Amino acid sequence: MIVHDLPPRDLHRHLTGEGLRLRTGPVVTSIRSSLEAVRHGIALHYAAHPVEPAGSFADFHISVERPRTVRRWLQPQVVFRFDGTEPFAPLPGDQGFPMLEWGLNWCVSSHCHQYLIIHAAVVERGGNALILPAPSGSGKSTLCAGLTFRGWRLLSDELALIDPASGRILPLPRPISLKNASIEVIRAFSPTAAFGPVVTETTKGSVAHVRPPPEGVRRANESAAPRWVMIPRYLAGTPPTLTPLPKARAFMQLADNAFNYNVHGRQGFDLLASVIDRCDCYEFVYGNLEEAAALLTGLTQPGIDEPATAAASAPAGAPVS
Amino acid sequence: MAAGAADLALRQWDGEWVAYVGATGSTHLLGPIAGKVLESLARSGDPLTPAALSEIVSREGSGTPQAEGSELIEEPQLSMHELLEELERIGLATMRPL
Repeated sequence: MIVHDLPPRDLHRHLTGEGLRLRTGPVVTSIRSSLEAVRHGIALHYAAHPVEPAGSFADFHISVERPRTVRRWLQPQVVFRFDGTEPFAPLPGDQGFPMLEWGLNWCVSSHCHQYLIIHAAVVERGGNALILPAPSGSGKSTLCAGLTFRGWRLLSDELALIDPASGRILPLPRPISLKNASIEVIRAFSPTAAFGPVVTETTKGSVAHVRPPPEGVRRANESAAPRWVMIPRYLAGTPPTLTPLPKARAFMQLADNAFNYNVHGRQGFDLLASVIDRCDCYEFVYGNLEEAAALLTGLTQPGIDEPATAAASAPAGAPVS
Repeated sequence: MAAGAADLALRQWDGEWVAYVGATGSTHLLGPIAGKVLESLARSGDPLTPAALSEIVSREGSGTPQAEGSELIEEPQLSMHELLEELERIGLATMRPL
């Protein structure tokens, strides 16, 4: 069963009862909330996601609710609870769904140490994964959304889960979080994309979530092989440019953006090295999303003298546009 | 005499190196000479003198020129002794009297 198959009253009953068992890739989360915004957000953004049977195992038990204080009437807030604790300060009352999303990211990045987790967007095409590690504000999620709406499969817009056993990347398809100007960029880029409401004045500015394409959700058990590491940077008015990034520096970028590299010790070092061994590494500057998507999609076309080939013969640091 | 840190792991791509020290969990980006020195120490298993290390680097080379921005960016200007002191400072090697 998927969320879309649940009648609204059943979704409400799960969320206000023992919890909706929502599967996102390898993770099952029991979610409880009586907030309408959270229920609508789940119905919209997670429509294609599997629902596990009530009472079945869940990796995490969370809730997003109004606090049990007088503030719930005076100045509404929302709190995120994880196994009965409140790991974050409350947020304004209209930020229920963003708080759910940030809380889910936190659950995975802080606890799923069976994977090496990189703060990165990941998309896949032809079985090959493009890893986009970068901090917030770099244009990572915008590029991820753009590629997702131009034929790449979304694995995650936030967390790259690397399986130590196989070295492959496991999908964690969830809503794409867009911020500020990126919201209108993606609305214009993909008019059919399903957006949730824009929530203003969050700690990250204005935030809106986009529903992941159902294809990526349906294929959430199909891992992908690391093939490219790119450090994206949006620079208005710039043609898309790939500049080869020396592999040792790409390694350091992945390590610096890892949530739990230190947890994995030597195994994490070897795992990251194996990822770098398999990847072409670049810095990628872009100023136009359509041009960026076209250039990167060109990397995946068989039989074309792809930029990766040209880059291989170029001296390190020489751009390839 | 110099010895590599215990539980040291090294990888090299295109002349640049990444070193991992198990004891501290730290990871370092290194230029070609520093990487070659550490590799030589790890391969030897025994402490080596700065002169012996200089000879190895001279004989075997250090790979491609160091790329801009490595952690030890002044590496080509460092004497072997200074380089070993720097490696000791960041926990990748230990120095001991002859």
